[in-house]
Amino acid sequence: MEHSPRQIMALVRADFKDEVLRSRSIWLCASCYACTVECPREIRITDIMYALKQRAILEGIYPKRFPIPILAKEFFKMVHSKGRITETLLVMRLFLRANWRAVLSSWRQGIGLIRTGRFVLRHERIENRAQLAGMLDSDLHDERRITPKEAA
Amino acid sequence: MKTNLTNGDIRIGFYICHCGHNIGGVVDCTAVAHEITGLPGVVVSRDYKYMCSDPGQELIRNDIREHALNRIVVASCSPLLHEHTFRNAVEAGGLNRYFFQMVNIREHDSWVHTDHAKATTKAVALARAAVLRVRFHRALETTRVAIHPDVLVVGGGISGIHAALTLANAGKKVYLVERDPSIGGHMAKFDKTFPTLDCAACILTPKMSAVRANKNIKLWTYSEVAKVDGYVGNYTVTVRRKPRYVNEELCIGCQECIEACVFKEGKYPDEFNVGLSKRKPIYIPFPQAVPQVVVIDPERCLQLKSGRCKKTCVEACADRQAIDFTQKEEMAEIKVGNIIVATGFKLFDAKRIPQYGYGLYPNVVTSIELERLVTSSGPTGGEIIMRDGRTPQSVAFVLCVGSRDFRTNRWCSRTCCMHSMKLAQLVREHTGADVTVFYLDIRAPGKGCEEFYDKSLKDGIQFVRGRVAEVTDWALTPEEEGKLVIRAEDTLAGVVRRIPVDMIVLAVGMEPQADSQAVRRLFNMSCGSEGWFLEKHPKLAPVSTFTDGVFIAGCCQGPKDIPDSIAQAGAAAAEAMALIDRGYIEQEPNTAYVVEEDCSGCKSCLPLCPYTAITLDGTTQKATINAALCKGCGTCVAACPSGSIRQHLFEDDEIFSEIEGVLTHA
Amino acid sequence: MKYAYFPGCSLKGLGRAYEESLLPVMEKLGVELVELNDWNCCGATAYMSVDETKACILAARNLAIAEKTGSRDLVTPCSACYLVLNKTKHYLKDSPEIRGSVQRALEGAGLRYSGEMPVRHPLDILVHDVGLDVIREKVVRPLTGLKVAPYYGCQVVRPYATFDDAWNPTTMDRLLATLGAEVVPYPLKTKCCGGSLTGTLPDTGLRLTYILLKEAVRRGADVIATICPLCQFNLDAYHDQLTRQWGPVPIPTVYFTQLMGLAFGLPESQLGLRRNFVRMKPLPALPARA
Repeated sequence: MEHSPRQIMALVRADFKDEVLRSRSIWLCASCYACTVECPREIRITDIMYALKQRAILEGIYPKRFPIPILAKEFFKMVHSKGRITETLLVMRLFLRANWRAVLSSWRQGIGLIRTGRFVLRHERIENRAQLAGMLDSDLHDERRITPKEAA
Repeated sequence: MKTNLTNGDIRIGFYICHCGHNIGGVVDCTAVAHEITGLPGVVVSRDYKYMCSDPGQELIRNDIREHALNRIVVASCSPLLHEHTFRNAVEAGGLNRYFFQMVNIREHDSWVHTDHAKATTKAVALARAAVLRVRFHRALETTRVAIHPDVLVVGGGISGIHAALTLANAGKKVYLVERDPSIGGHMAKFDKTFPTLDCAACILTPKMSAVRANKNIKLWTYSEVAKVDGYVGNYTVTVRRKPRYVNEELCIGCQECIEACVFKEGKYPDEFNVGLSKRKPIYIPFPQAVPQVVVIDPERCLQLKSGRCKKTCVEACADRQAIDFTQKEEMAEIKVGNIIVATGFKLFDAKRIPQYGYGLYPNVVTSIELERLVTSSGPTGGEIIMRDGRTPQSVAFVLCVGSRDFRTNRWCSRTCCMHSMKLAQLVREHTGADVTVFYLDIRAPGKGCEEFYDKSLKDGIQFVRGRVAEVTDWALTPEEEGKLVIRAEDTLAGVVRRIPVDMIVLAVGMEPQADSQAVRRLFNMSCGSEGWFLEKHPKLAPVSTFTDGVFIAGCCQGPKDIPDSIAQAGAAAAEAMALIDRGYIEQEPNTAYVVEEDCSGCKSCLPLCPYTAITLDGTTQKATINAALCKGCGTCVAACPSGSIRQHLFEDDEIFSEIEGVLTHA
Repeated sequence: MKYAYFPGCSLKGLGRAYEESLLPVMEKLGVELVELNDWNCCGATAYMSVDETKACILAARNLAIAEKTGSRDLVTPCSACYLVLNKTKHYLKDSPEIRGSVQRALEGAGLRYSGEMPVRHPLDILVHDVGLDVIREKVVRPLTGLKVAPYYGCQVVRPYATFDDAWNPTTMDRLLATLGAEVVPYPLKTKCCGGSLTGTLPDTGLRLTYILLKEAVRRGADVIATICPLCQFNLDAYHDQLTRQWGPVPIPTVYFTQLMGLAFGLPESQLGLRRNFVRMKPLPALPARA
């Protein structure tokens, strides 16, 4: 963690926008909400981290090849087109985009999943994909919220 | 509606105050004065920079003489601030002080508006209302009520003790009522006091003995105030005296009965040692207790619970026969003129923050528990040992436990920084252990306190700035095995640290007493949103309350240290003495009164009066109002179905003309 | 008792053993779970990281479908789903801007959502609606002698601690004790398992997983009970890597519903216990009856 949550808050307040959005710290938040219920000032830290992640994706300035925003985007895309997530397929896509060598290092895990019948290769999908897509696209009127830029 | 005035006689003087820029910066005062000039009866209309100044008051006095004025209106600040000042000026000018009306064009106008023209129009409307109203003002007299010279002090901690002694030394008779079996409060549990490190018992015990020895103090321990009636100068207080099953007059505190108790060892948590030691059902709270009288715990005593005990205690006390199982709760009624409430605080319950592990890990203790451990009269004879018997090699203090935290208490408890540093120094002195203090900010503003902080730093106590996230027992490294691990962000170093220690001390903050709301209602006081008793004015009346003759001192008003508590206790005693020595209070005549011939005796007003000032006269069957009890709230005036209750200074003609004045557009 | 049921993607994939054990256990207790028609992914934490409003629209479609069933409550076993659906409810209540966008999206799709329907976790249903007394009656094979570390993870108790404490929850402790198990004091019960970091940043994520497993072993637990599919996966599927890095921490992690199934005497084969990487040992023999 480059910056602690407290330092992130201080940097935001002091308007160090780039430092904050480029920081890996905001992506390290696993949304366990421990900070939110712990904060003596009742600051909703997890929600602020979400807001910063959204901003970083919107502006396309998150750390290069950093797997977490890539996962978020792959997730986003899969839900958009299928309506559901097929975890094993999602993880494979992540590995291909972020670090294909990781596939090799976790081959044993993959075999374990196949053995235990948890490896799913067929896409889970909903029936009414058109309805869902329509709903999600209905929210494009806002100029500010354009399709997330690809990370350079 | 006829008044006792002949209209032709009315000669009004109107004065508008600029209050520097406070009013003058927004309201066009000259224009207002000019506007008022034309109103009927107005003889003089002036604006002036500061009406409350001596020359301002002189202006009024002169004009009364020169222009034969008989009514005065001043438009300035809040009547709370200067009504008294101007009424005095009016009186000095030779008029009845109630031939005066004040208009608030500061708080009600210039401070809350930005549009100058509209603010000026509003000032004119308010001033006009007062000018129309003041024509109907009658001459009224204040009444005097004698003050009972005795004082009740509630709470026998250091604040209550000091207030009681101050009054008693001045020759006043004091009732000191304490809930526990002994006076002494929290201070009696302390080993040393910051920042001088002088022995707490050495300075408190003489004061406790002085209370016992002072003939002017009637000490009632194990007693609680049950009921308060009356008003400033004339309170009737009912005190519930709990049975201690030991005759206070006969017991000499020899404690042979305790020795003789059928319980050979202590079995129940000792309140004074915050549960770190055990006591018997029959006990004396602590060695220096005042009074030196034994008490029997009815929840624990075999005889009182089951009636089947050998009563070895009674045998042991055969010659004095002080033990009395037939004692019953008694109610005592006393008359006092003033009351000082010094009911103190309670400590934050550390279990409310589960991540600090209090109650889960035996070596997590509270600051008051450590206080008892370092005291030579404490359960370990002054040795700092952990619950497993070992002496700690490393100790950490966690500050702001239950303070400065929106989830528990938002306020700063003010004493924990200094208290913890004192304990840290004592831990170093007693054990040589490494001491780390985790703090948010060190708050050491008292005299000699910053220097004490410096000394702590020089003495090798480690300070880590950061709120502790959690106390755990899981280890990541061999050094952490078997220890308690504190996880905290060191905000100066900018890293998250794990620090393994043997013992953790939680500096628990102060909270209002659990029954503070009941006590507040008992004495008709107010509480702030946090539950501390509210002073009448945060700067100018810090020990007064909104109820005359009821004063507050010590931590029941808010967290504070011993010197501040003593200072408040002295101030409260002085306030009470000021009333006692004057001998009477003057009462505003803005009271309600019954026009007897119109009263139907319906009694609907009786239950409405918050001050129980209204009674039904047995012979006439009409309502009568005790002017001494009436606070002039007006509830009965508005409620009376026959319109037979009226109120001085709020007569119908006064109010209607005021309304007319506001609503008339120039 | 009848509830609308939102399984979530995990229960059809990596966490299918959760659903496999949940459904028969609920049936045994007379609780009917009616799966929502054509439900979609809740959005989890990843979606919220990209677009807040769309994340709410996604979740709101499920809430609207659930409301249409006329059931009293919506039940969802996955912690992420539980949090996202509850969070969306809160957002719709607190933010007029998001409420507007979501309502437009729902109306366009011919759906309606009033915002009233409670979203609840099976643990809450079992302890508070069904009741421990009823559960105790169904126990035919008490878990006597089995030492269980109750692990709640994060998102069911935080930040909306609706049915239990955020730091020291006890609902599952009480449930496990009702089954006859010995509940091991486990102060790490709400610490983070690493979430998706185990996949994206293994160095950071797996460390958290390791601490949870190591401490469960140190405190003498035979098995860890979880209430979340991601927690189960993290605590179960990385033992290879963990052993390579820090040494072995051999302890199985199962769903609390699997333990309930065992205690109810349901056949092991029906409870998905074979889907574990680290298999649970057979239950200890019951002490002979006096």
